[in-house]
Amino acid sequence: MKFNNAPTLLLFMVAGLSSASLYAKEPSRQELVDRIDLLESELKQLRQDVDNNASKESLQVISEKIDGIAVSSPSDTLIHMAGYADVGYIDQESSDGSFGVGSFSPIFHFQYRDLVMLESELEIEIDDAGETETNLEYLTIDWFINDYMALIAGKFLSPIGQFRQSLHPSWINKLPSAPPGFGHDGAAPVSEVGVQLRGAFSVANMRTNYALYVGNGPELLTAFEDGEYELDGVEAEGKGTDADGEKVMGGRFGVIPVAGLELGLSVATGKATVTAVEDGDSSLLSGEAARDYDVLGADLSWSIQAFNFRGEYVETKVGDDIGSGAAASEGATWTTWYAQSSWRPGQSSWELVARYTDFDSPHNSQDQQQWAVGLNYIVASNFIAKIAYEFNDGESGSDAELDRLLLQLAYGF
Amino acid sequence: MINTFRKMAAEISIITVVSILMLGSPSLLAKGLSDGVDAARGGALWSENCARCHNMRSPSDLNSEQWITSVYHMRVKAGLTGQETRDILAFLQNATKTATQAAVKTESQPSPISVRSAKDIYTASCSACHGDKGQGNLPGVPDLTSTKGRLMKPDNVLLANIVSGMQTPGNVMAMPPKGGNADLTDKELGAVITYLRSLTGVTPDE
Repeated sequence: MKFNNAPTLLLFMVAGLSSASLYAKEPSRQELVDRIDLLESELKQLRQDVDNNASKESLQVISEKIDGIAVSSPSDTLIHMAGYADVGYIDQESSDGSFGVGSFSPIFHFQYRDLVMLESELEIEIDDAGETETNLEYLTIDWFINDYMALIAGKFLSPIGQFRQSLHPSWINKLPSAPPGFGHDGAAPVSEVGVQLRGAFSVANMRTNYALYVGNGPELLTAFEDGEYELDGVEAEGKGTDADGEKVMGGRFGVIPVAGLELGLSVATGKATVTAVEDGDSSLLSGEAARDYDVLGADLSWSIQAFNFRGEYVETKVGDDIGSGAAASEGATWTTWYAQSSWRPGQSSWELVARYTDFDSPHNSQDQQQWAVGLNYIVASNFIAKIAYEFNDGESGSDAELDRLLLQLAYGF
Repeated sequence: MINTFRKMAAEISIITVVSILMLGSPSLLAKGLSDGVDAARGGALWSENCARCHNMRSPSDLNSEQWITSVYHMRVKAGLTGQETRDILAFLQNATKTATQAAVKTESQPSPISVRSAKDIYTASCSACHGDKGQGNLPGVPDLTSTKGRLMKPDNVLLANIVSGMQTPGNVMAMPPKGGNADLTDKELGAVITYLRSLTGVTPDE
C-alpha cells in the first residue's frame, strides 16, 4: 500500500462514518425526556401496584382473619377466670413479725350469651397452724332479666355499704387491712344466702343503682363473760339454713349526681336468733326467741383526677330477747365508720393513703380507733406493693391497742 | 322541689312496672351484644365508672372475649344498665384492636364521622381520659397542658403515637390505638392534634 493515497483513504473513512451515523442516529433531548417520563410513570405505577394491590390486600386479609378470630365470633358460652391473691408480712407490737399468705381467691365465670352468668369465688387461706382453709366466698346465678334488672340467686356478698361488696379484694383495697368492723364478725354484714334484684337506671339525668334482697339472715352468738351471758357477735356470713325461719330483707340505693361522686344508703331489717353459746350452757338456747335485727349504712365516694376520698358508716342493732332471755337478755349495737383519702402525686405510680376508723362494739375489748397510713407503689394497675402502719387505740392489754406494720403484695387477675 | 320528687317517683314507678312486665321477655334476651352500641359513650362510661372502686385497667389487659364476661360481671358489681354494659364493651373491644387492624380499617372503610369537627372527635373519643381541657381526668393520664408534656413532640411523632397507641413510661395504663376508635383517619387525628394545640396553647419548640 502506497501512503500517497492516504488522503483518499481518509476521505472514504469519513464518508463511511458519516453514512453509518445515519443509521445510528443519536436520540434527541426531547426523546430522552419522554423516555424518562415514561420510566417514571411506569415506576410510579409499579409502586402503586405494590402498595395498593399487594401490601394492603395482604394486610386486609390478615386483618380480617384476626378480626374473625378475636372479635366477631365468640361462642354463646364463655368461660372466664379472674380473682386475686396477696402475700405479706405483719409485725405487730409486742410480738415477732411473720411472713404470711393472705388469701388466694379465684373467681369463676360461666356466661351464656347476655342471658345468664354463674359467678363463684373461693377463698383459700393458710391458718396459723399451716392448714389450708377453703371457703365459698360467694356463688350466684345472675339472670340478666332486662336492661335495668338482674336477678341474683345464691350466696352473695352483702350489698350493705361498699366495702364488703366492692372494696375488700386486696388488689382494690388501698391498705393491707380492712377497716375495723368491716371484716368478718364485725359491724358490717359479710354475705347472705337468698335472692337479690340488682340494677341501674337514670332519673332526671342522674344515674342511680339499686340492690334489694331477701335472705336467711344472720345468727347470733353469746358468751359467758363477767358473770353473765352477753351477745358476743353477729355471724352474718351467709348461713346455708335459716335457724329461726325468719327472713331478713334489705338493700342499698346509690346515686351518682356527677361523674366521680357516688352516695349510697343501705338498710336491712328482720329477725335473728341466738344459736350458739361460747363457754357456757347451750341448753339455755331453748328459751331464746327471734330478736329484732336492723342494719343501717351510708357510704360516699368521690374521685377527682388523682385524688380519691371515701367514707362509710354501718350500724348493726340487735334487740332485746323477748323469750325467756336466759342466754343473753339484753340487745346490743355494733357501729363502725371510716374515712379514707388517697392521692397519687404528680400522676406518678406512687400513692399515699390515710384512713381513720372508729369501731364500737358491746365489748370494750373489741372497741378500736385506728389511724392507718400507707404508701403504695402501683407496679401495674392490678399489681400493687403496699407498706402501711396502723396506730391502734383500744382497751389496755387487748390486741386492739397493738400497733402494726404491714407489707403486702396484691395481685388481681 | 316537690315536683322534682314527684317526677322522680313517677319515673321510678314506671321503670319498676315496665321492668316487672318485661320479666323473661325473650325479645330483650335475643338482643345481640353489638346492636345499637355507642363505643364513644362507652369510653366515657368506662372512665367514669371503673375508677370508682379500683385502678383503671388497661384495655390491653384482656382480650376481646375476656372483656365480655369481665364487663358483664361488672354490670352486676358496679350497677350498670344493659345499654351501658354494651357501650363499655364496644369501647374495650375496639380498644383491644391492634394498630395494624385500626390502620387497615381506616384506609378501607370511609369514616362515619368524617364530617365531625376535631372538637367533636376530641369530645367523643379523647376527653373521657384526657379531660375537657387536656388536663387529664384519670390517675396516670398525662397532663397535656404542661409545657414540658406530650404536646412538645412534633405533630408527626404525636400522630404516630396516637395511631399505634402508647405506654407512657411510669404509667400503668396504656392508651389504646386511636384512643379506642379505629374508625378515625390520620387526617382526622391530625386535626385533633391541631385542636389540642389550640386548646392548650402548647406547641413544640422550633
